[in-house]
Amino acid sequence: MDTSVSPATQTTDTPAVQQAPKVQARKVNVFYGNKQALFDVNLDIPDRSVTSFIGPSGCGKSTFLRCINRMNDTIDICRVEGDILLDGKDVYARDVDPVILRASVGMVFQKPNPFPKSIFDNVAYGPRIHGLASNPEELSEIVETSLRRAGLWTEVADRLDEPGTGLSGGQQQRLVIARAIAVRPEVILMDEPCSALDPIATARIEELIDDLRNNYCIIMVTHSMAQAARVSQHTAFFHLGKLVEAGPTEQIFTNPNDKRTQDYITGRFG
Amino acid sequence: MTETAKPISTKALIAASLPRRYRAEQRFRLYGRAAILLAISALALLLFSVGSQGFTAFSIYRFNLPLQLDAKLIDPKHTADPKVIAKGRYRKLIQKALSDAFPEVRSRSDKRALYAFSTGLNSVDLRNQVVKNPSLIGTQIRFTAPLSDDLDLYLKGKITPRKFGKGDGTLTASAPGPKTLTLTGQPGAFEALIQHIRQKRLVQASRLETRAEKLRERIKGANKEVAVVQQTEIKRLENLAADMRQKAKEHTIHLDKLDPSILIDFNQGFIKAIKLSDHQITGTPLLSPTSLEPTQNWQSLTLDSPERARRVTDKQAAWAEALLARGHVKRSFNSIFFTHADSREPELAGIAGAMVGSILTLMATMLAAVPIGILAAIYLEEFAPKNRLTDFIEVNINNLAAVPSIIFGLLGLAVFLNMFHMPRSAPIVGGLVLALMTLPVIIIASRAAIKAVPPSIREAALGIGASKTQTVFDHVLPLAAPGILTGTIIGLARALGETAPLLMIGMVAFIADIPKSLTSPATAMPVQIYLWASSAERSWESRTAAAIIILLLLMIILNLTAVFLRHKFERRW
Repeated sequence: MDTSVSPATQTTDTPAVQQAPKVQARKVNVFYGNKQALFDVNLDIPDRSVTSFIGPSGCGKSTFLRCINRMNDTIDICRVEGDILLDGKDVYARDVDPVILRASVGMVFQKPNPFPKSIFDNVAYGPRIHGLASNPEELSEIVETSLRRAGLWTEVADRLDEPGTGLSGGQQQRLVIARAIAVRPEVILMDEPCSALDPIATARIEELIDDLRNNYCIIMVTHSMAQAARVSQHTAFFHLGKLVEAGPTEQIFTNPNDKRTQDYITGRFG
Repeated sequence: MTETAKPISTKALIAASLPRRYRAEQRFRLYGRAAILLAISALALLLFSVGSQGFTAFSIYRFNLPLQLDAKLIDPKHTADPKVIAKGRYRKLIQKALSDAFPEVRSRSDKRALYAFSTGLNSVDLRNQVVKNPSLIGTQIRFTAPLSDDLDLYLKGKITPRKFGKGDGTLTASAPGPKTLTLTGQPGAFEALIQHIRQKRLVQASRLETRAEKLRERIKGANKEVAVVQQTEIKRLENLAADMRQKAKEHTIHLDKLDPSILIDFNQGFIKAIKLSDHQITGTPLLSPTSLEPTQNWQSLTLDSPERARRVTDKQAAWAEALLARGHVKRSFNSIFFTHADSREPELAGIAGAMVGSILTLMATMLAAVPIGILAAIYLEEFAPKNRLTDFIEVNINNLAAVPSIIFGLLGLAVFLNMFHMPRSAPIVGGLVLALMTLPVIIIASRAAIKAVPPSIREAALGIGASKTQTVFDHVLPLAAPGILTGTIIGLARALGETAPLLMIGMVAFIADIPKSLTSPATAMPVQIYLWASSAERSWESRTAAAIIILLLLMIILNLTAVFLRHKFERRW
């Protein structure tokens, strides 16, 4: 509010994005019981690019991320006000089924959480419940393409029957990404996808995210400023439940409009 | 000085306190070990007492005698009509078979004592054999049936120990009178027996003296009239004791009714000693010897408890010993115990009826409690809104788990029997009552298991668009299965051991048939144990213990299944 440029209008100003934003947030307020976690968030997120949410712990960036696919519905005391539009349609509208929404807005979590089933079943579970494959051959094809896209195929092709929980942390996270893209989502939400991984595995995931950018709208929460700078084209800075500033990554990191953004990026707090 | 001393003093302080800390730790370990030791020894004591008691019930003495299926007693008119055959006098046939084994038994009272070897219910078994195969009529068969419980106990040494003494030297016999036999052995042949009787008499005397002494103590403060009455009792006891001491000094022992019985096994006969000296015994034959030839092959049998104090007479003992020696009585595995239902006669009673009853009851419990319990747990944990109502339900489930089981029995009586008019004593009702009792346990255990499934799995499933139900049934439930199974089996094991609620709905009745369906009258194992434990006859004692062993084994099997399933499923995930 004290920013001179509204974050919502800012993204449209950038020349890199011509088409309409994939996700739009209008005056989003989120409450946990009586405690307000997000205040009047307005934000446009473009398609086929990576958008990072940064900010200190407890600033509401994960909360906002989980609003986009209505994962907050599972928390009883959580209440969301305002509009979140996916392709111009409110995801909180009455006629939107969260099951369909989550099929088109996939999610990857901080800690790799593969199902305690085989690698194949992990990836095949989504297509199976949504009926995306009409026969077993088609299903294995989906599994293979998903695993290939997630860059895991060559490592697991000969052991698809082994439990997914037996893979290394980085492989598990890529398996989870493969599982998410197997249901052909349009948006992939990633909640600190690399914070539980070592630097080498992190590098592989970042490469993967860079590849996936061409086909999906990727929204990522991260604590690593360097990662945000490396991977994302757009960055939004949250502080104390408010969206302070949003814009092209380059601009946010080199020439932020807000003092708080600058302080956070230069490491003065957070 | 102080600056340098400070860090040293900290270390010194710690060092000084160390021995105390280590001592405390050692003490604590000692307490722990003592507690474990106490628990183990209590368990060992329980298992030993039950095991040693119940062990004897797993074998039984059966008699096996030639039996003439006399047509005159079964089908005198040769009608070959099954109805006539079924009305034959089978009891008489068995009695004849026993008489044939001991032709010298003539008097009515002796015959009655002999017939007591076989319980009346054995005739049912014989009748069934003949009805099934009428061609047997007129032939001789070998009839096998369990020996009646008193004789079974006698042969097992439970009534009084059967103490055999190997005969020393040659024994010659002469018959001075019609019912008297004199046995003469080498000098000192009966010395050990004489010593034994003397010792017994002295023990008896000192026992009488202690009793007199105790009485004397008691009347010190009592009023005069009581004292006078008690005084004569004391006098009597003291006289008896003095008499006993006197008798213990006898050179030739005259056995009387307070003495142990001494039986001499001589040429397949048994002679009960009356007069006992160093080398000579005068006595009455309980079972006549086949001859009076001198023999080296003789032995003595001492039965310490006096004849009138036990349920088996000396004569019956002699017959039993003779049958055993002839091979007509044999100890074998007590299959009856595992194939029969309850009976009035301990030798024909079995645990099978109660076992089938327990299994049917448990099946009904399982069918009712497991699906309801698990589904309730899933709903409460995964779907139900968290509000006052669900909090109230939760508190009440926890309370129900602590309600005494007899209350559930009363509820079953009021609802299932009085309102719904379901059959009395039926496993279905017992099962439903036990299901009510087990439900809270299953719900609590299942909820705990479901709660223990990490939320990341739920998020993962929801995140790719699984519905709530798909998430629960595809992911949460398989992960919670080991915990749910364990809780369920432990709940069922508790139900298996429950008695009180079954008493209320009439499963405590005497039921002599193995139940065939969920609605036929039945009893359950713990109830059977309760029934037998309150029966008076000695033979029930070992059968009670044996039933406890079987129940414990079933419990152990159930609990091992729980452990096994848990490990199996945990490894897979």
